[in-house]
Amino acid sequence: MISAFLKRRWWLTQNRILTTISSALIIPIILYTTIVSVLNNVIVHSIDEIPYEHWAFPGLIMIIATIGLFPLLYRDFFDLRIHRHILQPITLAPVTKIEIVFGIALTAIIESLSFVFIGMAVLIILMPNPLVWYQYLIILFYVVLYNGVIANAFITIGLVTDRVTMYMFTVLTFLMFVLFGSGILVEFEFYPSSLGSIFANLPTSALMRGLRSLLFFQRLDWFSLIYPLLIAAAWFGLNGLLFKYKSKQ
Amino acid sequence: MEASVTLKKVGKLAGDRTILAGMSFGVERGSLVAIIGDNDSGKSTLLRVLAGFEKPDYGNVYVHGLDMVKRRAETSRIIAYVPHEPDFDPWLTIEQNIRFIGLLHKIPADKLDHRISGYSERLGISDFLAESACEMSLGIQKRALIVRALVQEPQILIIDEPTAFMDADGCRMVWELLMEMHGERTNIYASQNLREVELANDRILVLHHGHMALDGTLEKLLATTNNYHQFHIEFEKLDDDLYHKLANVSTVVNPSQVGNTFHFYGRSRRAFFHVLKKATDAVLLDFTVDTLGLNDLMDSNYARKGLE
Repeated sequence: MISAFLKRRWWLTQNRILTTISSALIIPIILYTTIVSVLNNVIVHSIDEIPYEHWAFPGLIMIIATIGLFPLLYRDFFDLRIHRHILQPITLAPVTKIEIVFGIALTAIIESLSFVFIGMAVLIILMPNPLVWYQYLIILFYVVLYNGVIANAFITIGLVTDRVTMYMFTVLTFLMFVLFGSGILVEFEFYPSSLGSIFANLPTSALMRGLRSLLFFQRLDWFSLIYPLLIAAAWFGLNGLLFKYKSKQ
Repeated sequence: MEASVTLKKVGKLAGDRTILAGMSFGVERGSLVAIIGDNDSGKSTLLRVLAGFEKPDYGNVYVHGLDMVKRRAETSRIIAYVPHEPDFDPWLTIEQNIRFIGLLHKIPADKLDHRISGYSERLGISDFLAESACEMSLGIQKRALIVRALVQEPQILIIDEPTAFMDADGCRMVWELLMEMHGERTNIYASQNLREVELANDRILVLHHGHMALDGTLEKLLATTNNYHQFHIEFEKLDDDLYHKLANVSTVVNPSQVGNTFHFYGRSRRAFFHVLKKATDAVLLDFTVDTLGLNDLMDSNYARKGLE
């Protein structure tokens, strides 16, 4: 079943390869010049005395992964569902709704990794980088987990909204929340303590904390790994049920 | 004959409105069943329920004896559905769209290749397989939808408007292929093209406001028109006086005038001679007599009154 979705994703990528590559090249440049190069002059070092550019690198990769993932899931779970009814023939195939949701999401996550690869390469050129090769592999592993959570959020928003204005409003609000509420660009220590402690327990925040702990202090935080994974798995199940409900089958 | 599809008191609601009302019927395996009715009579909804796209709000649908809701995985291997309008992914080619659904149905690659090329050839779309779906005309896309359904080798094929958007060649190719399969697989289709329905059916279901108004063979349905005939008599000049004189003949039913042609219905051919007798002074140019068809049956001005 997954192989069918993988082939579909490959065909879709092939058919718009130039757009994908050019976007993947431009996004990290824009992110670096408009965010990191500016905040680097304000924050300079993290609380643990890590240079801000180094500290922000994993966060930038997560933003690139999110940007790479968003259009794919918007298209499949909102645009094609609402405007073209393209999900309907898929729902008639002998596969469950959870398999459909998982198949589309997994292949979208895999495609978003192509953005991440290119983004990493561009950022390595733009930024002084302290990481060694295996640490990039660790980042990729966390990107998959992180996008597992984010993909579910995009899918839920795509399934529950039926109007494009409401969809965009919800997604933009969510992205702002993730960007500033997950410790991607700013540490929680900068927030009021009550707010910071709430944000620090979000699954995306746990992943960022675990990733930085592993990259900069070589400490594996199992909780920050397992907890988002369980959330993502349960959320896939709920999205499958939601998809079944929305498709009236 | 064994039942292919059985509906038991199936109903579908949209808010307060009843779209399908307690519908019960069975379809025999291998038969060709046409569903006709006005716009908004529930034809497409019925097809969507039969295809498993939508769950009925009440009642049950059984496919080869299996409950469609409870045994969805099994029934989805038996049924293929062709929607009225194309639902292809515009960023994929026609072939990729078809192949993707084939892969979801776990059709082995060699069989899939063979079926795609075979059915595409038959429906005249081989040259368009590599084209992007969104760049193709609706007629080509509709043919491709039929190929997509047929590659699944379904035992039951459900088609909403089989020849919608198609040119004459397309219509011919689609019906040649469907008629070849007649008897092998159950075909259920809805159509507004009544001429097409008259030529291709074992049985016709007439829907009216979500109810089954008539159900039977073409002959049985046309018998409800009480053997009426339709007459067209062209005069050199059909003025108002002559028209009213002819329209008042007691055996003339539902008369109308188009130019110098007098149209009317009559239960027997004698009506024609009654009209002629009244028009002895007029110069007659031509005349035709037709038995009634589905078009007359469905026409709200005439036999359709029997459906109300």
